[in-house]
Amino acid sequence: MSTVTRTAAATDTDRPAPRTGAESLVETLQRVGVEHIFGLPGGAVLPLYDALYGARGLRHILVRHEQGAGHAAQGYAAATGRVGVCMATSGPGATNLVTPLADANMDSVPMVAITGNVPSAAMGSDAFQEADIRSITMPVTKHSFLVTDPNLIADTVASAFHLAQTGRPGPVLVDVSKDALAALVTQPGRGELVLPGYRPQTEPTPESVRDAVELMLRSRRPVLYVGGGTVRAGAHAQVRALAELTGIPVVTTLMARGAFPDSHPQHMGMPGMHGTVSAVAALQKSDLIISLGARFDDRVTGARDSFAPHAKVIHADIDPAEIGKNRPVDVGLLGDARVVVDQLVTEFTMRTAQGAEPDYAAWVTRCLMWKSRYPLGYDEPADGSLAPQHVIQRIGAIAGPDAIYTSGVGQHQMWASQFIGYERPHAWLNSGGLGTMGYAVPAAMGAKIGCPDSTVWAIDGDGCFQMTNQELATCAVEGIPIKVAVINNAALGMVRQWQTLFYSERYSNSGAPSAQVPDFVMLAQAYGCAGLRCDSPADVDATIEAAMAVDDRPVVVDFRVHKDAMVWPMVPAGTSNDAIQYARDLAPDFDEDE
Amino acid sequence: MTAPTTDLPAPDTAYPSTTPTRKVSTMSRHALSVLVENNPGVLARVSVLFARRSFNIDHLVVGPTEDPKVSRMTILVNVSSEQLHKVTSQLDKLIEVIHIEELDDAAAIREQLWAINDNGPRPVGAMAAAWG
Ligand SMILES: Cc1ncc(C[n+]2csc(CCOP(=O)(O)OP(=O)(O)O)c2C)c(N)n1
Ligand SMILES: [Mg+2]
Repeated sequence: MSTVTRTAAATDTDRPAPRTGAESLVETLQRVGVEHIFGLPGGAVLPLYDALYGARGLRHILVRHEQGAGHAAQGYAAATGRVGVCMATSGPGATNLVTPLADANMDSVPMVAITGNVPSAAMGSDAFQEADIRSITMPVTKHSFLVTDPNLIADTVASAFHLAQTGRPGPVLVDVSKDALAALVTQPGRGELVLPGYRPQTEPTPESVRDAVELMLRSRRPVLYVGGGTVRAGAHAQVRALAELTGIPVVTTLMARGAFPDSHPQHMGMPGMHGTVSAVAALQKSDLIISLGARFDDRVTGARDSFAPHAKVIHADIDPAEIGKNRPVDVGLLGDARVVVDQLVTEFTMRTAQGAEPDYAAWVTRCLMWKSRYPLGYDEPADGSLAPQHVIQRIGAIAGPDAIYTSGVGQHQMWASQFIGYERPHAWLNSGGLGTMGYAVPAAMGAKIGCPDSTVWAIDGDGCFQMTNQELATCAVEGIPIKVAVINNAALGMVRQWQTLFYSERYSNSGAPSAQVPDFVMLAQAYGCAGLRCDSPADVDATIEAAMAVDDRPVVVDFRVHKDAMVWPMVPAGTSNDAIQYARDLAPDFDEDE
Repeated sequence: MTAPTTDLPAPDTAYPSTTPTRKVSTMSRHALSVLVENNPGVLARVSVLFARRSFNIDHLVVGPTEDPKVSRMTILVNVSSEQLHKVTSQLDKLIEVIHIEELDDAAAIREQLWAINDNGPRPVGAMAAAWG
């Protein structure tokens, strides 16, 4: 395989110059502070794995599938705020990273993926395991590099880390040809590439801040629409300061759960397709939406032409392309959420000290009325079987707000966003933008590596779990004791829910013929994990406590839940938010008291 | 930095109008001059962006500038100004895009590009065969 033979193995002792491209890559990882890499080797990337062998301060976690490496890097990044790193070989190794890269791109996760490619002379010849991963990933990354010159490897990798974590965070791919990895570096670079087209702006203009506060003071029905950008920016303290200073009601999107405490009286809940009535109504009826790191996603707005028809918009974002993308804006605030919100606080404080008297009292009363009239809830199944919402609520109550929760995609994800109760940012990790089934287990693995002292629960669906559960083997042998709750409704539940509501109960390919295949408890045990099962409401707490007590290995709990439970409230796809149903065929009337 | 100095307007002033308008805007011809890093793959990145929004590119010319590290793309598209703003703000996000400018006289530029382009029909496949 490798064409290089070197007599001295690469060790962590002082390396005499000259060094190979691969060695310069490893040194760069050390220089930028990387501690953990999730990956899996193969022919084209072997020179790099050779340089990694014994490299000081770097732990490589060998995954079972590269998609697991990618989601683990995402979970690591989302839990810690640091750049997640994954690594793969050429061809299929690299293409297996495409889903996590696209996922990270949608959810602005700082991540660097490093792939080996075939030798540069073979590129374009359909060589064994050749894939043009730089091109494949163009539309799903913040940027993708191909390096064929050993002298450029170090600078390119350093720039990839810079790109991933500055401006709007995102995934960056660095593909390196095998010959460049193996060859000697003859001319070291300057440390980073020159990127003349990359100039993220972090501070809003003073005029825009003034204009925004002017609108806030004149508004009678404002809402703080808080998105995932505030979590990435670490702006939760600023958001809380602004909310408490102004008294304005707050909604937190799926990506921002925890950016503002759920227990806070000003919190109206999550907006969107499965949001609370109070959050949806607050947006619909507002006269001013103050968007902080959110992007007016279609799952939040519903049909756009009837979304918040009377609202003016202040839109704060680090990405200029987001401002005005989905909704025209009245004031754009370009910059880092921490800086922007800080400046709003300062300006608002100054204006009120000078005598401005905003009056939101009637509006706040109205929002609180919606909140108390339409709380989140669910029905206990009449047949005495387990309500999935109850299981999830109890996990949240027992593991508490300090734990980290990841989820797959589907009904269980929505229930986990609704019923756990988030009090801090970085505690809720999910695939919001791409909606990737299979995110939960590997993301939990990455989060646990990044935050070894936190309890990490993956709230997964029986469908999702089967997409990436091979990483339980990684967790078992690498000593990564995550906890997995499989919310087993023997169905692709969210698909089934749509078929119930919109396809006349024609359940085309959405049910598992059996809840027993595979047997999740035996599967867990085969992977070296503890396996538990629970199918009655009376045993829920004891089972969760038993799972909490397992500390020396991963634990999987098969919760056999009622298969017909549905996620409520719901705004049917493509309809107006005004058509929100609190429960099936039950439309709240939030116009009545206008 | 060897790249040409950039004079993009401050992004704050580049936003869409301050009052929400939902009127349907009409299509018209626009010419963009885009300075990009002279790297392999840049053209693919730019064209993928246009394709994703189903923008048909009328004309596209790529050529060198005085700076060997920088190329200039001249792009003609037929879209509404609102759509154009959205695609240019996405274009501006590309790391290798250094500067974007809308050129004034799209029609005249189109004429000139057309003149360059219209050098008669050539049966490309056959020609390639003839040249062996
Ligand atoms: C990779 C992928 N394939 C398909 C889908 C479409 N999809 C969304 S939710 C869902 C069902 C998920 O089933 P399960 O994990 O059992 O969760 P449940 O809804 O039952 O809680 C499917 C198939 C998806 N989001 N991701
Ligand atoms: Mg299911």
